[in-house]
Parts: sequence; C-alpha cells; structure tokens
Amino acid sequence: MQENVRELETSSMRFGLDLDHWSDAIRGIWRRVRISTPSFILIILLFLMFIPILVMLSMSLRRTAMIYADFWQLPFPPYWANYHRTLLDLMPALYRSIYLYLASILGTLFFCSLSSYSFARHNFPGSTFLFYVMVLIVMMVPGALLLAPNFALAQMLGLRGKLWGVAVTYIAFGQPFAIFLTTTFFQSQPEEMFESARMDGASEWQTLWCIAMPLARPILVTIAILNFNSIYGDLIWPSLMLHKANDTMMMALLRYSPQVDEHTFRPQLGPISAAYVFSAVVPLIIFLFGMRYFIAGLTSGAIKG
Amino acid sequence: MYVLDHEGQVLSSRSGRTVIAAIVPSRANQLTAIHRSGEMVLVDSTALRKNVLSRTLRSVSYALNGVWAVLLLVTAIHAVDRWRMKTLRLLRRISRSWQSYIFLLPSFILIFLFRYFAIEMGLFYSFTNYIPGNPVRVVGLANYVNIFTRDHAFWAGMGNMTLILVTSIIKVLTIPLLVALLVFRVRNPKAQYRWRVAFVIPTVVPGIVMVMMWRMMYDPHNGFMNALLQAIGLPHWRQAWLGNEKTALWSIIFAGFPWVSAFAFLIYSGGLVNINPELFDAGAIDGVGWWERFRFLEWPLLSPQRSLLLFFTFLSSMQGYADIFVYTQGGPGTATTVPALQIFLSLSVAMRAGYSSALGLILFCIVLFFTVLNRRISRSAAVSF
Repeated sequence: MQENVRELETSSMRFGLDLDHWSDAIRGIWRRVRISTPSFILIILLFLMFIPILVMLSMSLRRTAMIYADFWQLPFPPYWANYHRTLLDLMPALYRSIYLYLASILGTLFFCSLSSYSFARHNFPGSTFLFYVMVLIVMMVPGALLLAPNFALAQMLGLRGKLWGVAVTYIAFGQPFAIFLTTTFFQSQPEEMFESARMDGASEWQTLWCIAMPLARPILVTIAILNFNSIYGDLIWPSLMLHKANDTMMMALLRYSPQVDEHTFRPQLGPISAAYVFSAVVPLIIFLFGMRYFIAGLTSGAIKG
Repeated sequence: MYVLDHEGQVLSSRSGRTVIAAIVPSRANQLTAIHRSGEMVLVDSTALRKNVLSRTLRSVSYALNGVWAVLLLVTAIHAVDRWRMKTLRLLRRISRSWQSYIFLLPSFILIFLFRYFAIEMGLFYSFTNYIPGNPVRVVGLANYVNIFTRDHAFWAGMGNMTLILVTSIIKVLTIPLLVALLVFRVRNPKAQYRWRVAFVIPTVVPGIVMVMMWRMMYDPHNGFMNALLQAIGLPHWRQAWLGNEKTALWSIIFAGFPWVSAFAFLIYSGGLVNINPELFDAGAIDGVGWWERFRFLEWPLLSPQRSLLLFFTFLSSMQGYADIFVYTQGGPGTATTVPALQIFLSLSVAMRAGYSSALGLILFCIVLFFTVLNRRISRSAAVSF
C-alpha cells in the first residue's frame, strides 16, 4: 500500500502536481473542523433526509403569496398566522385521532396481556396449538389483503361510521403481534415470583394485574409506540370506515385546502404546510417520551435470526 | 322499505339500502314487491312459504346429522376403555384450567372473526358480484376471468409492482446498511447514540404526511424539484413529475431520498452490536482494511437481519399502496397503478366488494407462493417475530 502511495506521489510530482501539499492541506481542514470521513458522509445523508422537513418548516412560516413569489426566501421574520388558522381547523380531527388511538391501544394491551399471561404462565391442553392458530399463522397472513372481507364484516357487525367501531377493528388487527411480544416477555419473568404470590393466596387476576403487568412496562410501552405509528398514520382503513363528518387527522390532512383569499385559485401552501408540521407534534411528544424504549427494543437483540 | 296490509296501512318500515322499496298484498296468496326502480314483481306467497319451509327443513336435517356424529363419537369413546380414560383425563385438565381459556377468549374471538372468518368470507365473496347493501349473487369464476383477460390495469399494475419491489429491495440493502456501518464505526458510545437518534427522528413525521410533503415537492407550479432545477440552471428539465406518464412511477420510487429507513437502520445496528467484538479485534490484528472487514465479517454476519428485512420489504411492497393513492391514485392512466391499489379503489369508489375480494385472493396466493418458496426467510422471520 505505502509503496503504491509513494509511487503515486512521485508520479504526481513529475506532472507538477504537489499531491503532498494538497493532502496535507485537506487533512489540516479535517483536523480543524474535527470531522472524520464517516461523520462527513453521515452529515450529508442526514441533511438530505431533512430536506423535505426543512422545506415544510420554511414554507409554513411564510405568507402563501410570498412562497409563490420567491421559493427560496427564508422565513424571517416568521409569519405565525398560518398556524392559527391550521390549529383551529384541525383540532377536532386531532382529538378524534387521539381518542381513537387511546381506545385502541388500551384495548390491545389489556386483551394481549390476558392472553399472553395464559400462554406464558399456564400449562393447559392445546396451548401450543392455540398459540400457532392465534399468533404464528396469523402473522404470516398479510392483513392488508383482507381489506374487502374485513370491510364487509365491519359493516355486518355495525362497526362502520363509529370511532369505537374502528377501535375494535384496530384491537383485533393488533392482537397477534402484541401477544407474541408480550408472551416472550412474560416467559422471561421468574416463575418463583408467581409461585410465592399464589402461596400467599393471590388469585390469577391479582398476579397478572399486580405483578406481571407492572414488570412488563418496557414491552407494553414498545407495543404502544409501534402501534401509534400504524394507527395515527393510517389513512386507508379510517377513510373506508368513517364518514367525512368525523374524520381522523390523516383524512383531514389529505383534503385540507383552506380558502383564505378569494382571488387566489392556487392551493394555500402556507397553511397546508403548517398543517403537515402540526401533524408531527403529537408523534414528536410520544417519541421523546418513548425513544429509549423504542431504540432499545429494536436494537438490543429483540430480533435474532 | 315499507310493508303494507290490505287497507294500505303501514305494518312495518325499515330504512337502509334495500332493493325492494315496498311489499303490498294484492290478491289472495299473492304479494307485490316494488323494486326501487319502480318495477313490480308478483310473488306467490304459498310458493314463498314452501321455499322458506324447505330451507328450515334443510337446516334441521343438518343439525340432526351433527347430533348423530357427536353421539357416534361419544359411544365410540365410551366403548373403548383406553380412549375413555384418556378423554376423561383430558376433560378434567380442561375443566381445571378454565381460567386460562377465559383469559384467551376475547383475543381468540377477535382474531377468529377478523382473520379466519374474514378469509372465508373473502373466498366466498370472490365468487359473487357482492356490492354492500345489495343482495349477493353467485357468479362463479367471472371475477377471476375478468381480471385475467379483460383487466388491463391489473397487468400494468403487476409490472409496476415488480419494478417497485426490485427497487425497494435495492434501497433497503444499500443505504440503511451504509448508515448503520458508518454509525457503528464511531468510537465514542455517546456520539454513536446521538447519531442513532438523529437518524430515527425523521420517523416522527407520519409516513403518509411525508408522502404528502413529497407530493408538494413534486408540484409542477411551485414545487421544490422544479425550483431546484431552475436554481441550478436546468429550467428545461422542469416538468409535472407526477402528471407525466414517463416520470410518474420513477418519481414515486425516488421519493423519500436518501431512503434511510429508520426500521432497517435500527435492525442492522442491532445486528452489528450483537457481533462478537473479538472478531473485529482479531481482524484488526491481522491488518484487514475496511473493505475486507465489511466483505468477510460484517456482510456475512448480518445475513439473518438481511433476510428478515428482505421478507418485510417483500410483504410491504406487495401490499403497499397508501403512498401511491396519495401521489397519483394510480394515474395518469395506468402508469402507477398496482394491484393492491386496485383492491382499495374497487372497494371504496366502485363498491365492488366481490371483485375486490377476488383481486385480494390473487395477490394473497402470490404472496403465499413466494413465502413458501423461500422457507428459509419465512422461518427466520417467524423466529424473530
């Protein structure tokens, strides 16, 4: 390697290119800004990743007319009126989305804990068979392909057009994966703990509610976060199930086109991009609370080949 | 729907979408049913009664057959001693663990209804022309024949889907791996964690909102893409990215650049962290460069993570259509349609649940075929999830 470099250097000298000087200069710059090559590539990738978000932030803080006049203008001073308007328009949809999420996730966690406790702690006839039927086989079947039958079923059961009806379907869709994760977690809890609780006369219900579930908080939080992305960010299923009168956040965003000024027929880019930014606020809060669990859950050997 | 008696008084009424608007008695033993379109049909009530009776009789005979089968089984078990002992023991164990079954019951009902029963319903509806609110008529294989012979959008969609599948596999195999490797090279654990958080943060923007943002960036009048081309002096390259048949699909594929999926990145990172560090130390002593280290250590040791990601990418690009729905709704023409989008549109716009179910089952069979074909991948996915 070094010989090659030396050869290259001598040949470059011959052509009057002072490679040594140049590489020294570049190394000097690197040293001064204290960035290694990997970090440099990472920074560029990160910047490219953030471009759409930066563009949205900038557009949401400018007047629509100004965006149309000069795309590259910076948002100084920021124009906050876009946000006032958006907040007023989208607050009801956000409430509905949060209500839908809370109902779904509480139901999912409650029912999956019950089942997982059964699978992990009890030895009853048919447990392996039931675990296969309820979890492993179902997870292999891609759920999105059952769109039409699920829709017909929801209509048949009278779940259509109601927020709690959509929540029931979300609880059903979320069960297999949640049961799988929680069962593995419950199995790792020491049996002696439950044995001693039973000796002290605790019922099954009490051991589940007072011992198993509080200790399973990390996995329950992980499930809640994973489900948040899929429920809050779902556009397709709610738009089939709900009427426009009680739309969720994503449905509202898709159709959001406020009329501010009668003379412009172009879309109101300012308020619309403010709405996009606004929709990321709740996920950001959830993420900041649960980031530790989320990153740890996905990186620390939860997945082994 | 209104049901009237002889004097024309309303006996009962039922709202909702039905084909029959009203039922009115006309002559003795005859009823007139009035269709929504205004057509009238005479129905012989004795024939109707006979029909209902025969249907009741049929269900009674089914029930009787069931009872016979159960009785036969019980006698057989009772007759053989060993069977009887075994069954009694099993029954005793089942009755002792009734609590476990109670705990399982809610989940079981939900999963059974929305998975198993739904598959069965989908199979049945795919042979009918079912439209919600209308009576079901069995049409045999007509839906499937139509899809394979007349539906040009379906075949165009299969082509588009293949292209999207191939490009998403390339995307998930390259950039997230590169980022995970580079972050892993960072020595300081605190800095490493900060990088990880930085690359995961953009996921707080919901996927669909990200798609809407990209749609805005592709906007022909005032989108980022065209503004950028204008700024760097290539104004004649500007175009309606999503409105042009030639660029629409590639624009959708390009969206999300630089394609650092947080999920794939975290999975790769997890794999790298779990590699025994002694291997890297041994490599360092032997003086391997970064390329050899990647080629002979990291790439082969990450193969379980890779197959897992391939499996998920395969599933999601076969089934994914929400982004295309937001970008173009499959247009212009059939330039960006995929079968999964067709399932959704035929259900939500045309309300053709039968046709939609048939499409869903075809797609389901394709997915199942490849899953079974590649058992290694599916098994590793089953182990890890």
